[in-house]
Amino acid sequence: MLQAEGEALEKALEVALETGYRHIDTAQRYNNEEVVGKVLKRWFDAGKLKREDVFVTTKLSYTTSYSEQVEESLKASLGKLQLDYVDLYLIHVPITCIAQGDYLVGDPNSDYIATWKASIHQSLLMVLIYKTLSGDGETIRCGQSQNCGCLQLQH
Amino acid sequence: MEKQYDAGRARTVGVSNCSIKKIQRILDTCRIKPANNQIEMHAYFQQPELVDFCHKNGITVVAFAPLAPLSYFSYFSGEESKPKSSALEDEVVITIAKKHSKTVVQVILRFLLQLGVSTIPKSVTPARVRENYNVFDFALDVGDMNKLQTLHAGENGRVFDLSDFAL
Repeated sequence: MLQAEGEALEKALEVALETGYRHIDTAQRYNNEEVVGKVLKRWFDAGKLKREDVFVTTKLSYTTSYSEQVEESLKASLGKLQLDYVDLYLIHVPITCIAQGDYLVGDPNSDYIATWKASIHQSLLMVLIYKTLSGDGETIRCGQSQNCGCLQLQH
Repeated sequence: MEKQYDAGRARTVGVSNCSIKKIQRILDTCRIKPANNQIEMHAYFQQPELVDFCHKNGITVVAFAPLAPLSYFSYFSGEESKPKSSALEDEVVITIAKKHSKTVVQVILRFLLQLGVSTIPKSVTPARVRENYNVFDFALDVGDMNKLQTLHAGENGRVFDLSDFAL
């Protein structure tokens, strides 16, 4: 959905969902999460789609990806998308950029590993780990998503 | 733990534009591995080593710019990059498309899917949105796949210059 916005994007999303697309890829940086959220809400409200029917990806902007910015950034994205959660949250680029005049340049001191750890803290994985530790058998649910780090959980 | 319990804002977490080296660092230092790596990938820039590395480590791959634009405007400098030749006009792809009575776009998307990679072709043109979806009614054979794999042009095939990111 890069470089797509406004009415053109709204129409394209309508066509895509009608055609059968169920994976929507957006990003904070694309400045179109609000449009995605608006169209999805319309489909949810009309009963044409359930939340679990779509897989929504968004990305942490490389302009706000210091570890302490992750929670706020993700909450802002969810607000625009009008969703309680995203299915996949990506670190857009493994370096944080800062403005230098008209340009963005990578901050060599930024630490994407710290950003990664902060992102993990925002994810359901932590819920599952907690529930595993508390022994209520929630790990079974994890098995439904092969990509969510189950192996680590089972150790 | 309360804070973590309240989270769950993302079902899975991943990375984008990460090299093998960058991912290895996460695998070496973090308990949870990325679910996904979203990378530039198309007929002329297939990144076979990176895709193989991700798959061996259970990391799914999503290809952005699967149809490789002819040019693009840099996020950073605002300058237009030099035009590249397009796989959409490549004789190898055209021949395979004719053989299957599909479009070149459908052949390239199908090729990536058969490599085990998800694609996210961007279009706001309704006819193209539909065309891009219509790739589930045919399959490329081993010969087609081999021919398409030879189109990989290494770093020369890269469209998105991420050198500013020191990747």
